[in-house]
Amino acid sequence: MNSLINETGAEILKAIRAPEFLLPTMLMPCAFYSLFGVVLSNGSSNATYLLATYGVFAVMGPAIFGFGVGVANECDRGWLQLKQAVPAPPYNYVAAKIVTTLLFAGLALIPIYLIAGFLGGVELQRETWVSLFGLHLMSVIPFVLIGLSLGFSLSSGGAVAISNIAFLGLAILGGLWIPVTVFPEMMQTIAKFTPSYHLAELALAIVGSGGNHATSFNLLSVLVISLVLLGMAISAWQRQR
Amino acid sequence: MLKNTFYISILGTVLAISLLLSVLPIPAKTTSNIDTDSAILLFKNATIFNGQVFVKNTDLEITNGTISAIGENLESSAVRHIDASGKTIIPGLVDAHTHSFGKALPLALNFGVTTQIDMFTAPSILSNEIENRKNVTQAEQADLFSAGMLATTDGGHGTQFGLPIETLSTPEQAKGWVQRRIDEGSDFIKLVYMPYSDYFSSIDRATSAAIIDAAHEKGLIVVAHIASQLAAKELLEDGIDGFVHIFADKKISQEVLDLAKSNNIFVIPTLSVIASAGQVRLADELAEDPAIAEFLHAEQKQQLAAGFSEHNIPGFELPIAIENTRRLHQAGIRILAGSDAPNPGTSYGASIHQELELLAKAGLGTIDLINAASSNIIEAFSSIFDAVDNARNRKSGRLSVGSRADFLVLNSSPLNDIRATRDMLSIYKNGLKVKRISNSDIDHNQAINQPINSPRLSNFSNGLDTENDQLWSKTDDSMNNGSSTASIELSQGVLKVSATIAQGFMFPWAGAAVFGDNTNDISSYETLSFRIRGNNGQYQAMAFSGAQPGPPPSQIFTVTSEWQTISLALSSFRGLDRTKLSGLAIVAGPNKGKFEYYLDDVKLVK
Repeated sequence: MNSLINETGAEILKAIRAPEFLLPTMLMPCAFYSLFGVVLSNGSSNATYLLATYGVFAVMGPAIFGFGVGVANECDRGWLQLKQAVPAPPYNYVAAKIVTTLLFAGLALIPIYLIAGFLGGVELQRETWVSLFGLHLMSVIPFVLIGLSLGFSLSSGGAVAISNIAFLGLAILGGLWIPVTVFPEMMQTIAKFTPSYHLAELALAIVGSGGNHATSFNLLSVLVISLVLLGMAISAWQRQR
Repeated sequence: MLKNTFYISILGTVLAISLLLSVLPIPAKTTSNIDTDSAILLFKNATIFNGQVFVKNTDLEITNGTISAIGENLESSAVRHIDASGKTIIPGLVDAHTHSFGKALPLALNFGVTTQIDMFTAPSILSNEIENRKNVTQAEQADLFSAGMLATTDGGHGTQFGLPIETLSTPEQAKGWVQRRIDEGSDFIKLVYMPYSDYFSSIDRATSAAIIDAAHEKGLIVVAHIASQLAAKELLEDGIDGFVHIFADKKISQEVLDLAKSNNIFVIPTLSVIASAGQVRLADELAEDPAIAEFLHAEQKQQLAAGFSEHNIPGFELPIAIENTRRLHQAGIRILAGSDAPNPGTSYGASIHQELELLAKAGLGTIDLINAASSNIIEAFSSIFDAVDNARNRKSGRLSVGSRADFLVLNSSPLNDIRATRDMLSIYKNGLKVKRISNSDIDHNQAINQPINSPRLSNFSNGLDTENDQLWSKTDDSMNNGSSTASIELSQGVLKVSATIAQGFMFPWAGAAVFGDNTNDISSYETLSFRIRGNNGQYQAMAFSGAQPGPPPSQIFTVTSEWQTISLALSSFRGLDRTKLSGLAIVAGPNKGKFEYYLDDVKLVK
């Protein structure tokens, strides 16, 4: 426990000392949301709808980039090999990164929620605000697993490219920017295999704009997708070792 | 150092998030019954009924409660897209004949009726409902347009319901009477013309003609309640605009058909209520339809289960009513769907779906049927809707650009079976999704009643009170503006009742009743039994439960001068909620005359 806390502290310190890496991934969703959800929107219902989807978008950045690119970088530099030699449990490395990611995901959500509530005219019941925030924070999990798989499997250069594709692909296919229904049939079918699509639907259900699928279907889908991703991440890690 | 970094950043973030979540704005007013959003909404790939045909693969866009675009592959700025492929969208239904009491308007909306045309209600509710129907941001109740008070005479139909009515009897009164209705907020005029009724008195022909003229002078539509072909013919000659029931005493003659045609009138057959009055029990089937049953409020179940007392009221022959409707429709006369809820056997909202099924039997096809419950009603009453029309608030009863977004999303197409209107995926009122209230939402809130203490409902050798803290007292139809009277006294250990039955109420009664302060659950009992003797004739037992509009469920039995024990099955009190018995009455009536009878040993038997 002690070593986990130290390790997490170190991760946080690293992120603060090198803000050029995390800051853009945190600020971009916020800027996008201000533009599309508030400035260009006509009415609070769009602001509510987009808060639900951009919240998912906001946590994707720290998760995919923090893990995908970060882990790949550290592999390349031999840091992971060194880690295996130190007298600390090997999973501390991953656990510390997850806690840090949750922390920065939470921080990334704060400005979006502030803009939604105080500039976008979004009004929700207290428990709706809390459950929406909780869902957005928990949305980190599948994306962390994607980031881990990428980080363990790719070199740092490849990880940057592929993470970007994954990041943008999941955002678009998940309907985080514009609703999936405007896409061709085939893309809509692919969308149903992405975690972002189901998380966005869950978030929309919380704010009362759901309706395309039953909530239980979305939950089950997220669970199944996460389990598959967990399997992938574990196998990528083992190949790495 | 590292530990501090960890604790400070975790604690700081958690604190910041907690603070954030506790200061974010919450809605000032809880809009519990509607979805939170509205601005722009797009239904994709629906089948849309445009008043003439069903158009497949069509998008429907709603902006601020109004239909803003309809077409294939619409370009829309809406962010909320609803995939409606496989669904059929039809206009919100209009019920052209109701009497709105209590929760009529929210209950109607719960079944897809977005507008009610009311044919008589308390004028006191009108000013409020006129304000409510201007509100184009609500999705909690149907809009009401009403005749308000009806035109009838002393002892005429309409006076039996207990509402104070300004009756009239001479043509000279017509002008002032119509003006007072306009001042009260009536949207149109309804008159009752039954000069050939055995039960009711009626305004005479000169008075009814004067009302029609006075109303027309003020630009108001006049509709009439009639019960016979002869009355219909006379009103057609005097310029009536529509009938609120089909007459079912005789098959319609060519002469009346021609008159109806040349006067371009409309007819609201109300086959549902004619069936019920003619003892054809169709409402049970409706109440058992799973698509309906899920949303029936307890009060609505009672309304549907209720029946008209089994007196043979002439003039309610369903086959004749259907045949007359068929012939009117074939002659091109506008047929409008109306339920006459909440008369026994009909209920708000739910019954319009059954009315459509009955109108289908009269030969209306699906397109005619949906128009009969939407655009045709708006057109028939166009002078009302034109008067309230404004840019934000246009009712057309059609899915057309610029119309108010009142519509139903059906799970299957009504083309082959009109009963598909019952299976609604969703209801939209003013572009807002209506939160349908299922009966499981309602009923579990209600208190469970205590089983009744003792099956003995009388103890006349000791007094008028019972072992269940109930009390026997006299009862008569004066509560319904009738003029029958009764008195009771204890005599040699039994109850002596003197009753005089007089005309004034459609089903007059007078006699003795037992009521308590609480309702009781008597569902474990099967039979009501009592001993009775008195003047020869027909008597009746009535049972009361819950809040039930209309006459209570009753059963008729025969009394002679010899003591006899009468046993009545509780299940034959149609519409009685046996978990909530509030009282019982054993009375003389409905035949006129003086009665004296003795009652004893009233009890419930398992």
